[in-house]
Amino acid sequence: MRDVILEARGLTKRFRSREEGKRSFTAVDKASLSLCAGETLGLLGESGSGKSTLGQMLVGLIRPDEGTILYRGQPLPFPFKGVPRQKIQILFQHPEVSFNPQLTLRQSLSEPFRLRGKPVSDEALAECISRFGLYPEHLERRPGALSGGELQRAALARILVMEPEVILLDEPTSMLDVITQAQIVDFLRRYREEHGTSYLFITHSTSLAEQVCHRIIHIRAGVLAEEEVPERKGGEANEKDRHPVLSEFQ
Amino acid sequence: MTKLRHNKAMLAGLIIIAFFVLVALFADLISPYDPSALGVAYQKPSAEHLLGTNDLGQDIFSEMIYGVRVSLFLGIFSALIVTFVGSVFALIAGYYGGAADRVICAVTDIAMAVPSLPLTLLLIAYLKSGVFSLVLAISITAWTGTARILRSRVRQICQLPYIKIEKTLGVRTPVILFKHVLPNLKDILLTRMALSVSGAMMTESGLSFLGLGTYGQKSWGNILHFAFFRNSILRGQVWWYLPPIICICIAVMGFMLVGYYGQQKKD
Repeated sequence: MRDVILEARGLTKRFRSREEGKRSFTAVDKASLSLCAGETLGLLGESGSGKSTLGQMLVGLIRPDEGTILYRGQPLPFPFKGVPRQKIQILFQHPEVSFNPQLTLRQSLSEPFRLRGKPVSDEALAECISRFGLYPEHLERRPGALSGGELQRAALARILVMEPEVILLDEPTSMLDVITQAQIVDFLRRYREEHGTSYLFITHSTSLAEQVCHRIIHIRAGVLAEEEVPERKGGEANEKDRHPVLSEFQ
Repeated sequence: MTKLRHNKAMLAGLIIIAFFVLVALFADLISPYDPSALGVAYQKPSAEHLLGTNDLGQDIFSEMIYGVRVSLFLGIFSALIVTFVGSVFALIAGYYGGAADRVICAVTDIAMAVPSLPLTLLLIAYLKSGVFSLVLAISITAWTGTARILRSRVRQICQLPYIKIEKTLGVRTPVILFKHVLPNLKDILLTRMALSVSGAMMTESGLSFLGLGTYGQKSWGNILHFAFFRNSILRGQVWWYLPPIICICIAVMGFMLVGYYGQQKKD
């Protein structure tokens, strides 16, 4: 078995309830999972099932009420600091609000370079975005002047500057056109193969999860339910079941 | 068309503010007389004294010109304090949430529940007389509205993915607050600041009118105080009590127009 890179043990998160007579509701209840190096783990659930809350606990954005997160076997105290902080990144669903609207792409992309202690040069920034089909002139634009697809690719370029080992993909393709979805899915697959990066893929699309994930965990009402290993069947019969992203990409 | 209308409103506001700022800066050059110099009392407007003289024979036009300084300084300085205090509380409450948010919201609610005018009057009575005491008394009750509005906006911004991404990148909290949150509040800050200036100017005028303003320094409220308490209305000396009222209205309107523009842009 490959190395477990990120592990959750009994993660629980409760939020204060707005309903009268109820003090709190449990968004995630005693969730335990492990993510291996180079693995794509799908977290599949309906809206409000707690998958994003669990994901945000795993990347250190939400403090769990109970439970432990382990990075390479070591417990991670909240807030994450140092190497684990740099190595666990997130890509959100909404590219249009993934960048500070006041800053140009150059300013936003320079930040991870500085955090990593890398020199920020025109060449470095151009190289960073070029593999996502973006050009140096995009660097001078603000988010409002870029399309959703361009922004999502730029968002991916930005987090990859950190050379992450784990990326939480919170429905990263659901707001994009089919071509851009396919490009991003394909890029992520190649990047994983080259760098051994692990993905926690949050989605509500069963067909997409089945085709990009090594394992899928279902989450219902904050509770992790069954786990499945999707079968990747070939042949014509399976073509009609393919997710549009992958069909288009083919 | 809508944008042009808003621009016009803001332009008008900015012209008014710029006019009063210039008058305040060049009061020494513009003013025909020393506003404290005594002369013949109760003169009617003439070429020599454009707005006549008061009960001590001081030139009212010169008083008005020097009065801009105190009114404007008090308004702007109070607004800066109000905006600063409100912003700090809003950033802490909105960014950290939890206990910090609950404590700051509770303090804000309590401060809002205290009637501002009696508290200001009480503070003025106990503090040493002067411009800074007036600024303190005005500011101490005026920050709550700014804090509450900004806190809501900070909370909204902090829920946006780009702030969460900055956190996961490992960007330090002060950088997130000052580089990524604060610049996105500038419309509300502009609005709140403009409205705070106008509010502070009104409060100062009211306090000075009641005789609780600055002593020895000319302000519009101060002129109004002496105009009313020396029976200018009964004497029909419109040139004494009307100019400060008009100037206060125009200056407040100038700041409100700028605030109005900011509010519209935000909406």
